[in-house]
Formats: sequence, C-alpha cells, structure tokens
Amino acid sequence: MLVLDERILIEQLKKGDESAFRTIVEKWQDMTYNTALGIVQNAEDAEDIAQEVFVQVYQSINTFKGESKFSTWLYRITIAKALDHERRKKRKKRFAVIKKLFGDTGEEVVVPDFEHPGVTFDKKESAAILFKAISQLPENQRIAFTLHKVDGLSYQEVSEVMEVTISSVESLMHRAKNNLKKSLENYYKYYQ
Amino acid sequence: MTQNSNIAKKAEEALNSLDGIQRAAPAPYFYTRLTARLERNNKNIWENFGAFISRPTVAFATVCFILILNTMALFKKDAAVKFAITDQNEQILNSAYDVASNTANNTILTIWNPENEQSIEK
Repeated sequence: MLVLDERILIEQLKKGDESAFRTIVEKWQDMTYNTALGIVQNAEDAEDIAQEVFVQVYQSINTFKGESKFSTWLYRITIAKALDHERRKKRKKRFAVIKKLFGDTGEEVVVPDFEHPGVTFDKKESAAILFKAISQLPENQRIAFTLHKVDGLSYQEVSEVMEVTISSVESLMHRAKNNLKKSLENYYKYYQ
Repeated sequence: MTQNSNIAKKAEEALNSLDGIQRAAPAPYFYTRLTARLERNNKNIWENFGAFISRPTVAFATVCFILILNTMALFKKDAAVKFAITDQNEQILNSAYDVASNTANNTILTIWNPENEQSIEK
C-alpha cells in the first residue's frame, strides 16, 4: 500500500503536481536532514543540503526510473551532496591556510563541537567525542557507520544505498568500529 | 592496568552512545523556505546564464571558436574561388583546342580535296 502511495506521488510529481511535491517533502524532510546532519555535523549546512536535495528531486524527478526505492534514491542524492559540501569546505580550509601563510589575517573560522539533537542528555558528551572521531574516518567507513548508527538503516539497506554487497558493508562497519575504538582510546589517554 | 581498562570502558561507552538516537528534524517551515529557494533559483536562471557567459574562460573560448569558424569559412571560400577559376581556364583551353583542331582539320580537308587536285593537274 505504502509503495503504491509512493508510486502515485512520484507519478503526480512527474506531471508537475505541487501538492505531491509538498507531500513528498513533508514525508522525507526529516530523513534527508538527519542523514545530511550525520555527515556534515552542522545544523545550518544540513538544512542547506536538505533543501538542495529537494530542489534536485523537483528538477530531475523524471530521471527516477523506479529501479530502486525512492528513499534509496533520496539517500544517494543526500550523501552525494553532503560529501560534495565536505570537499568544498576542505578546499576552503586549505585556501585559508595558504592565505594565512601569506600574511592574510582574516577572521579564523571556529568549528564548534557538534551535538546531535537526537542524542539523550546523559550521552551528549560522549556522543560529541564520537562524532569528532567519526569525522576522521575514511569516506566509505564514515557513510556506512552513519547510515547504520545515526539513520538506523539495516546492513541490507546500507548495501542498497551504497551499491555494495552486504559483506562489504559488514567489513566497512568492522573497520570503522576498530578505527573509532583506537581513536577514542587515544582521546581518553590524552585527556586523562 | 586499571587505567587502561578504564580507558577501554570509556571508549566502549562512547562507541555505544548513539544507541537509541532519535531522528533530528529541520526547523519548522522547511517547505516554505524550500519553495522560496526554488523561486529564487527560477528567477536566477538568466542571471546565472549571464554570469556564465561573462566568465573569462567561457568568453575566451567563445571568441576562439568564432575565429576558428571564420578562418575555416575563409579557407573554404578561397578553395571554391580557385576551383571556379580552374574550371574557367579549362573551358577556355577546351574552346581554344576545339578552334585549333577545327582549323587543322579544315586545312587537311583543303589539301585532300579532289577538286583541288584537279585544279593542280590542270
């Protein structure tokens, strides 16, 4: 029934129905925002990315052939946009370092520690440390870990979104956990 | 030893701190902000196009392209003119050859004309 509703909504959107677009946005805005937030770890950037995702959905809905689930397609767009955003941010940081080397004394951008609003109060501190460690993981491990732990997707769903096998996801998760464990232990050693 | 186990415990706790995490939601009126962005994007299409074609690289590439097209057109025109001239020369030559060959044939005919032979015998 749900899949049928989804198909009808998509068909209506393809015909340019604005109310269908509104329904789609309201249905998937939290999912998109949450995924973007897990990757970029900044509320404003996540909102910006979520908007970009829906702009792309509106403009290129005709390219969606229905070979995968609509949510899978949305996840892929969100991840691509979030990673693109991250790369741009890194480039800007590198450029800022170069500018600094040449004596430009522009204001330094201070990146605050990220606190996910969905984490319970008693776990906020350790979750903030974990998010910092997640941001240092290699791209694939970071995506797999975020999709599984922050978005609550199963390994099967993660494999569909990332277009890899389930055993690849298991391997990515295993490596991500090991790397995070090492990173967290180093952090606690340093601050004790 | 105790310190190490304490660190490992803390790391494990941090690793499990995302268990039971709730999905984050964007600020209210997300759809309103989104439609405003879509409208802004639609208005900016011509501005973006203007900005795109006025980029130095794009402008330079366009000028180069036009110059190449002009040069190609010029060479083609030259070739066409040369071809036409060659054609004309050929025609002139042909007509001249026709005239010459006709004259020569006439002379031969005149020499071998039986009437002329009779006139010679006489």
